[in-house]
Amino acid sequence: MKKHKLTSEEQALKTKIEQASFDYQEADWLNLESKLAPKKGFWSSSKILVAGLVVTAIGTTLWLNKENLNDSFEETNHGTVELVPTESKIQTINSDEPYEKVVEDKDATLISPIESETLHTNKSTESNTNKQALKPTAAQEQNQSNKDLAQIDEKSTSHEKSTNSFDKELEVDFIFDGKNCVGEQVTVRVDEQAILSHVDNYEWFLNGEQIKSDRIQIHLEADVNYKLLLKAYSENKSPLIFDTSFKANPLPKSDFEYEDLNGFFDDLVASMNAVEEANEYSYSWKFDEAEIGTKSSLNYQFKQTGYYPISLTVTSSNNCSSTNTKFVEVKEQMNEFINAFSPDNDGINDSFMPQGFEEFEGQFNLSIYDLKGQKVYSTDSKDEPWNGTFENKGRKMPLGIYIWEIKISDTNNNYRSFKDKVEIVSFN
Amino acid sequence: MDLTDKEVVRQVVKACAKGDRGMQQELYKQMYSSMMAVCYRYAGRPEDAKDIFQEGFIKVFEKIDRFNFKGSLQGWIRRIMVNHAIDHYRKNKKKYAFSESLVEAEKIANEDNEDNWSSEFDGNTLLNCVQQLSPTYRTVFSMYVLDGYTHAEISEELSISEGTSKSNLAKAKRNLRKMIQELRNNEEAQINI
Repeated sequence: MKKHKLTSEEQALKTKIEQASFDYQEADWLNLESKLAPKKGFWSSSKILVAGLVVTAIGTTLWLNKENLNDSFEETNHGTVELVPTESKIQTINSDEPYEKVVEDKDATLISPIESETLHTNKSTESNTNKQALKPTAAQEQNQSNKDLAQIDEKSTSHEKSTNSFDKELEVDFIFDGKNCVGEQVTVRVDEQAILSHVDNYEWFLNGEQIKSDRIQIHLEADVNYKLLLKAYSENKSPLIFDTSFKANPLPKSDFEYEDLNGFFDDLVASMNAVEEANEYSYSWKFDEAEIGTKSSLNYQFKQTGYYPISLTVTSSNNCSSTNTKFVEVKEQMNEFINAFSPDNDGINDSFMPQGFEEFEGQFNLSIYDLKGQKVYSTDSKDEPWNGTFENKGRKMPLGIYIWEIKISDTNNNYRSFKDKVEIVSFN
Repeated sequence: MDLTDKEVVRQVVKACAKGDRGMQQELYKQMYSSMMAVCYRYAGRPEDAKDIFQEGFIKVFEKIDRFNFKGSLQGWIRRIMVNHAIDHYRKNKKKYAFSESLVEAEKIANEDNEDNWSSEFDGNTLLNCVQQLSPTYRTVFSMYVLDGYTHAEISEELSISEGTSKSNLAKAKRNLRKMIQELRNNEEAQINI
């Protein structure tokens, strides 16, 4: 980008300022990570209808228990997942009485779901002092819901005013689009047409805060209890409240450790191990697009030394997955070989045998070639170094450069060779 | 990771574009110091620098799939950072007043001396001085001296005249000199104690 000449003063300043440095802070990354969009890999695939939660409300005010629906995104045969509230989660006010008490409280303040437990109690007490209406119980109504719905529609179009009155059953499906996994984005919505055929309007609340939208979008974070509340209201009627709560399923850890092995036959092999191991996890190791392993650990043989990006994707049984990529460095772990010797019988470097093979117990061969490619020495024994003469007994070879090659193999027919040059620097 | 290796860059970009958190973090870590330094030049306070930096990096990850492998990845990221920093300045521009005095600029420009007056202070110290400049001086100075923009380009980017750009640069340098002189005086004072 240098398009103009700086004065020496400016240049000096620039050079200095460019040396400024800042220490990396993990907290900054964590902060950024929480703001990044959910991973594209999963999101770009077409949206999956994950769950349809059917909440049935009978009467005016009805509470669902605030239990976690943590693991309730269960898979069905149709590939969709239903969020099924267990029976205990549906609770009506005073449900053990033959009739429900309905609080006539049109101006009921919006109820924060977090405080709902308390409010619920308050309501029960209040209900003694408030004007109450008696309503049929859930059990009695459920059987004839369809008929009743039809009647309600008639009523609402005829603008019949009935103060306390929802003598009907309203079903609200919380529809979850997305995956219930930490880091994912889910959208929660309702069938608007269905609900607006019963009530005039509805409002969403997420953790007590009103969301001014017809749906709630949540970027799921770990360990957060999401409390959803839908408040549906009609003129002259007490608001209906539907709520539920859930937590995102945690992601499996996809971190892994690796070790660059350095035996003779696993020299270019890296041993990689997932940090978190569990039976219900599935693992996929990838190198250059290709899957190279599906277990929690993997030994992979590279063709040459280098710095390779290896990624591990771990998927948990509830289909949450995370991917981690690391550069695995594979080095050749050989000694540096002495590259010159002097067969001058002075007791120092008089003969030549590459070091590092002392411990090796398989087949071994050392051959020495001159630069024309002619073999001048060969041995199968590590104890027979080359003394610089032709086949260790003939004429002295000229001073200069020679090529040595060692071939080794083990009982499993693993085979390797090493090659380097060596120089004869003087003779006696 | 070695970002001069094209293959490495290819892998990094691909993984980051897919949203691979591990790789994103590696890249972030690697770019942290140099890009933070870029953001510091354009920000009045360290917290602002960090905001620009973080927002810039969100853009980097959003757009990384569009990186065309022409030029270095580092240069590309730096470009995004600088552009984002300039955007940041533009957004707040209404708050800042421009100095339009051209005549004065010519005068100051002649004050340029060849004295290597910054030599005894390290980069972070000088960067601190740059931060203390007024927003417009700082932006013009950083664009021109540190990020290689010409006055014509600055004039276009910041919607000011070239003359204003020149005048602001001169004033920025004058103020920097003052600050450095003060630093020097302080140091001497300390030694005397």
